[in-house]
Amino acid sequence: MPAIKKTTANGKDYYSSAIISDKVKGHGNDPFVLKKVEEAKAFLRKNGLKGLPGHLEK
Amino acid sequence: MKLERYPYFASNDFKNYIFYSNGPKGQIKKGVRFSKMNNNPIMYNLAFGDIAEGTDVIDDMAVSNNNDRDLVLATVANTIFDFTNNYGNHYIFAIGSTSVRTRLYQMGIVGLWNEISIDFDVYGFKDGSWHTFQENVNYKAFLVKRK
Repeated sequence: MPAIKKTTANGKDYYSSAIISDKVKGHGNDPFVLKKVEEAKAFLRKNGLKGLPGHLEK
Repeated sequence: MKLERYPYFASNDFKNYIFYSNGPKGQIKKGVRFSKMNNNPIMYNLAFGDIAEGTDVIDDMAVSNNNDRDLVLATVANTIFDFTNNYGNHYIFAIGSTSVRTRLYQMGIVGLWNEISIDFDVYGFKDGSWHTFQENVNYKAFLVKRK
């Protein structure tokens, strides 16, 4: 399946071949996904953003 | 990103993606889901795993061993392009369900680093803070942002 070349608003090229399909169901309520999101939030609450650009202090 | 990858399918809202891994274990359905987890800065969690036949839900506890790790990771990386094209250039958070799985993510990033580093800034969490990703360092979690 060939990649499709597109250009973003900032002029950078990107390649995308995602096929939009009604058969792709939403997984937002999958138990695993919900658990991962809660774990991710907890990780961020505990550890913060220190070290990221613009977030040198916790 | 010009890495070889699997064809993949997106839901209408570009938050859900599926593709099929092909290897010695046969065809395995994979799913990717982006979920908002933080507002300042805006951050989305990337959940990724197998979609077991019959359940149609994502679960990352399965160990596929389908000998296509780089292809799978490259496909996941491409879903980030599609997602950020539609939702903006925000941080994407990723952590494995186990330390072993996180280590596998790390090895995958290292294996594709030459390509990934062209398009993405990658940060790893270690010793209480986030650091620019380095190939020879083990991290607890990852943040990815498109350049």
